[in-house]
Amino acid sequence: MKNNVKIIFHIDMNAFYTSVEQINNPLLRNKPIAIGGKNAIFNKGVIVTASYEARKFGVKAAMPVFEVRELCPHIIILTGNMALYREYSHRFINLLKEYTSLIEIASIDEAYLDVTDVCITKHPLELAKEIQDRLYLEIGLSNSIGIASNKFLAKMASDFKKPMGITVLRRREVSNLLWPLKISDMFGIGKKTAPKLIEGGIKTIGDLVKEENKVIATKVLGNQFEHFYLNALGYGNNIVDPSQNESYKSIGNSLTYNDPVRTEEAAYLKLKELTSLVCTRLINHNYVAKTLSIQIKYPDFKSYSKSKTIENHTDQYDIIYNKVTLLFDELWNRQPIRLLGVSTSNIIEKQAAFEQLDLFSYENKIEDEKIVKLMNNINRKYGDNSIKKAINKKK
Amino acid sequence: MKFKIQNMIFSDAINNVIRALSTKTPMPILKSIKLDLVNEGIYLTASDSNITIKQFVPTFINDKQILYIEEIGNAAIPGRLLQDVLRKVNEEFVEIALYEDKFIKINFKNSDYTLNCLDVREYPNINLISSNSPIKIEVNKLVELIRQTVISISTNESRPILTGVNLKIVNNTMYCISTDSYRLSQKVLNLDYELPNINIVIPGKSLIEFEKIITNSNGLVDIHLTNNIISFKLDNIIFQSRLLDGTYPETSRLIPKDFGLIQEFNRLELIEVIDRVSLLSKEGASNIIKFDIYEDKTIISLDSPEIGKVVEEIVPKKQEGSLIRIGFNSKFLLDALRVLNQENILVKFTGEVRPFIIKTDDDSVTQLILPVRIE
Repeated sequence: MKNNVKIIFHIDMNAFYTSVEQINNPLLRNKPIAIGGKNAIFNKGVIVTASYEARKFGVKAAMPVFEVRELCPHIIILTGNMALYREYSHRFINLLKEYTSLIEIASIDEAYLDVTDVCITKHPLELAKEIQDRLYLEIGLSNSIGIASNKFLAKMASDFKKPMGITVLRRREVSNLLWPLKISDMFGIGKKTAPKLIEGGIKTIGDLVKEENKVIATKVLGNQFEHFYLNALGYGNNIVDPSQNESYKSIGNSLTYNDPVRTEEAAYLKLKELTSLVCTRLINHNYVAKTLSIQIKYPDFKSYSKSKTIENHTDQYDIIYNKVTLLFDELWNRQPIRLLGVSTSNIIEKQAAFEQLDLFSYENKIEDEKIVKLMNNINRKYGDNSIKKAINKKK
Repeated sequence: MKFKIQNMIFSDAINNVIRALSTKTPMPILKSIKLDLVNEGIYLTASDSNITIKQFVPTFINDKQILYIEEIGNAAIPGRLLQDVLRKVNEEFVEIALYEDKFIKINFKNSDYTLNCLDVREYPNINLISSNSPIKIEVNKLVELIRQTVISISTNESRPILTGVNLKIVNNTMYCISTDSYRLSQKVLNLDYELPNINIVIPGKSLIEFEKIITNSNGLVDIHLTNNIISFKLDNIIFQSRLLDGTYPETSRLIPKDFGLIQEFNRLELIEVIDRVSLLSKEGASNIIKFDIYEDKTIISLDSPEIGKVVEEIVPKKQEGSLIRIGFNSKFLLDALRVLNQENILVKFTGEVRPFIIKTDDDSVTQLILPVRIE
């Protein structure tokens, strides 16, 4: 390798949810539309995102529905179809996979690609143009691509030109291109942190690297300061890690009830629904979990949670539901419930989970001993994983 | 109540009884240690209502006066605070006195602590049991028995009975059994005197605390029993614990007697190998290790997709039987090997998905481990 500089793409789908809706339903094309929650039809709640046609009217993400309607009275507000969005997400990731397997899916509508090797034979800009055009022509998704030597710069670069932009951000250009940006535009600086930094006089990304701001920035960012400081100077993580896509940290579901849950029976019923949702997701992803938790929110918006780690990894509804109800009984203070959540963590792939045999029950499972013995013999002779149990991972 | 006491001796006694002190309790007084000062010496009591420890410190030890009494009486002193203060004492003697029934003054050198304390009359009256014919057992035997069995108690409250050690006396043979249902420890002692048959379950936590108190002592421990309480007496210490309610599962049938493969290892060598191999589990890998047993060597390995893998070879001192590959939790084996004393150990396997046991020349102890399924 002649040098260690990597070429990282950050590919961001523009107005992803609304674009998918417009691809899926021609009647919505070229019209101002937005995605809201279930209550959007009652003019309640906020919108999640808006199409570019709507953004011209000043409509922005997280805006209350009534305000959206004031700005753009003829807007079409849809309630969202996550299954459809996930399907399109798969489609664009599959297209990207034709170029490299070094893909880290950052969220449903964005991904990082390490194209260092691909660019030995193809110019990065040419490659970016090809990917961008194919995404638009073959799937219909407009997108913008950031090209840089690490993930942070690539992410920032993809934001420069939208939609359908391609931006290269070199480290030597950060003082010209990156530093003038508002601190709130810096990736990783959230809605809560930005005002604190601004109050401390750090208004732009450039302000963050000024020596005189170091004390105040450290106070706000804590041990994260070093990380943001290096980012602002153009340094950052350049490892695109495909295993990130596989490793769920937790799988859980929660639901908010406009009509609060008051009785134990009703709560158990809701817990059953949530648990079966969670189990289905675990099974679909072929995961097993070891830690189970429950979350309860009351009308005063105070949220409580409790979790328990069990002996063996599981995806079994009965086991999970049983523990979930025990946790619920311990946690519930008998007030009406606004939100219930069931979640599982400590997750591993089912094949990686070992079943610890139990002294009092192992004899019931002894019938497949011969199979285990046979498989072990084959694997010893021909190497590990020569033979495996047939458990197929669903898409 | 007012006295002066040699701090080393007093601190040792406090450190013993404090093992019973409550951390979480609906009765705030149980966060205190009760002191009873009498003409002969001082009694210290702590309790969390499950475990009670009472120790007596006499005025004279080996003809040396260690306690000077000015005024007898009693008091309840915040336990943790007292322990912390005593740790700071930089003089041989410390002076302790109760004022107005609600302040404790602790004085040494130039220091003068005044601590608020609760009224000692609130301290519950804890009945200490005693029986006419206690079981007598040597301290070192009891320490070994506890250490070799408590490793397998369950830490999971889902089957509370398994958090205890089952103590059975049948025809003058004493059986101590513990299992968390993934491993089992059993100690069998032949008693050389007549005893009634018993079958009780002692909380594992109580035994762990008691072992720490007696580990450096010697002599005989008297064990007193009632229906729901066990009490150990050694010298000036009484350690009393509530027993667990319920029937302990029958396990004798579950310990295999016929084996398909027996390996002999040097115990310390095997500990070192397992210790090295399980290093990866400290980094977050599961602690499931694999034994790949061949004619001439055994390959011990740990493979974690996220962290990496480690492989090590060990040659057993002896081996007999059909070759297998088996996976299990390395912690179980390490715990078992560490509480055994002999130079050599035998690992006796019965099959890939069946329990295996660890034995030594000392036939009184059996450690059993259930494998995991590996493919």
